[in-house]
Amino acid sequence: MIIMKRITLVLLFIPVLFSCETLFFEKDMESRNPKENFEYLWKECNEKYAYMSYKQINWNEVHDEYAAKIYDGMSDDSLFSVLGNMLNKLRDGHVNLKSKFNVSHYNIQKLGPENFNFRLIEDHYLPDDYYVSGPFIHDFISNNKVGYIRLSSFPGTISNDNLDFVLARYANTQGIILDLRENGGGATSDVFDLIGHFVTAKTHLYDSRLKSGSGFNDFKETEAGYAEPRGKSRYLKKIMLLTDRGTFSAGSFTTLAMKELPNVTVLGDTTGGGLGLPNGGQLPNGWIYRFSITQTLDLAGNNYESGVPPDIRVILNNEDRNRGVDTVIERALAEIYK
Amino acid sequence: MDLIYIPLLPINKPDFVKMKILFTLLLLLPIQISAQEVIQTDTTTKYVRPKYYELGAGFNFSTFRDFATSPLIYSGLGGQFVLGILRKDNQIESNFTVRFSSGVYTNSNYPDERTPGSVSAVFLNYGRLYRISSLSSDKWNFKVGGKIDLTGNLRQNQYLLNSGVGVESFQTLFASVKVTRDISRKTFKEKKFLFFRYKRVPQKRELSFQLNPSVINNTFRNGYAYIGQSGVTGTNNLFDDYKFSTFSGFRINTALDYTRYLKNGNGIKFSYLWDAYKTGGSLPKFEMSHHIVQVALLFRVK
Repeated sequence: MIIMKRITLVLLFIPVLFSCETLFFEKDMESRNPKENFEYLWKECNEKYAYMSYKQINWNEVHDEYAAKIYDGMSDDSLFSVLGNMLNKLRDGHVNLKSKFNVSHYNIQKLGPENFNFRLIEDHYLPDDYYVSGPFIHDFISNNKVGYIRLSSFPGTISNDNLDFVLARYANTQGIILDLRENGGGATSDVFDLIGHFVTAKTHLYDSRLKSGSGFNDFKETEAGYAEPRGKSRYLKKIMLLTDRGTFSAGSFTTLAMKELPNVTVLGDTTGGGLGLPNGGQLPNGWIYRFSITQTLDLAGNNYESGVPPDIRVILNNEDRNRGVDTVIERALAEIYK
Repeated sequence: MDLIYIPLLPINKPDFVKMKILFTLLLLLPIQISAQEVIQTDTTTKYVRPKYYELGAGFNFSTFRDFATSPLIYSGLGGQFVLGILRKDNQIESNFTVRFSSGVYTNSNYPDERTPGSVSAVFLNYGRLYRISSLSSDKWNFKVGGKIDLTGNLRQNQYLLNSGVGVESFQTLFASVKVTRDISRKTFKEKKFLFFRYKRVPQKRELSFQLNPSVINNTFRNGYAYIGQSGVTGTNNLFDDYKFSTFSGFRINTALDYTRYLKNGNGIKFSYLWDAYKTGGSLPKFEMSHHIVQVALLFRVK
């Protein structure tokens, strides 16, 4: 009996501790209420999105416009549509809303004309047995005088081994074409691994600043992004960097950074931007959102979040395409032979 | 001076306590069998405080919420292991423990939107307690003292995209109060359970409860934006934009222990531990609690 009493006392004690936890945990905010989820998402963007001021977005007006579309009892699909459309007011490819049934997105490629067709390059520029070294597709073009290197994404796997081989192969060319058209981005670590083969010393590429408070212009001091020499091979001759509106995020970072190198010319269309680092967060109903929380500035202090402009604007011409010519590559070759 | 109690009668174990025998067999492999606290030298008698190595395992039911990434409460069950060194007698008690816990946690209410992630935690703590003689008696022992705890969490949740990795550290100085009740069986008893008759021999046992409210709580965790920008500046600093905050938040933990000792001086300890903490300051709050049920073997080495 005595033991039972002791056990009972102990068991009574445990719920006391559970009840004490209410002191440490604020109320459970899990909710499928459309209004609560709308307000939560709007507030997160209002306080943390890095480009409200730069893009001159009146976020309060956006609130009023979309709050009017929220009503009790609306379906998850309808709520998702309203929230996704609200986020697209930020005009940013790094802004998404994600649920188990849909992902909202802002289509940056539609900001400009189509400017890339890989089949055209395969059929009329590259040999059938072109090389594939890690994420790089490459080979000689233009009578072996130029190296063509295609990078379709930044998968986070660019290595010195890949690049040492690729760049050593084209060491005796007159120039290389680095084709980043429709490169949607990926791991920013690849940007530094890549550019490290085009510099001979530590090189200041751009500056970045991080959101530090709820005000639209609350940022920390800028931090410099540097490239340092990597690997064994360097390529210091002419580099033609091809871009279009599909060149986004890490692709835009690379474009912005390589514009600082004296031997680089950017050709094609303005990039899709995406120079902010996106975060990740969750709504009270479990959906996931993301948006940019940093700004990137070139060394003159310019903000190219809406797209890094090319040095020479060249758009793929339909007549050229029909006769097997990539207008952008042809212009790049002309620049190399200048 | 209360010493480890040595049973005088042989143990006659009935069938229904086989599980107890398994635990006991483990304990019968002492590192150094000793029931002596007094070391005799040539000219003096020196008292040595009993020392134990603690080896334990159990389950950790944890709950947490990081407002920086989600308003949802995540909870789950993990495994946990503990290693420790314990020195104790009725006057002074000190312990150093290392605890590791790991498990999978998820938000709970909406099965179609669950986003599970993992949490691993390491706890290092050192505590020291002193008897309050004026409050203590043969049966009751009151001790007060302090405890230092260093806790580190590694949280991973791929659903949270670039915010998917959370690393934080909490450094806490606690005030400690411990009360121990001696519930030793002093006399031999014969008992009956259903058709089984069995004998209960004298055994040293104790029940204790320790309360540790925080006095100073420091945190080292993410800043306002939650993720740093080292990824885009090429510096790859995991702790970019981390902030160290002193006197931030509050923490409390408790330990309810039931310990029984064998005649060779080793022991077995059943524990229920509760630990809860919350950050302070202007940044989004982090809240976490642990409910740990564990069994630990105490190997006496002095």
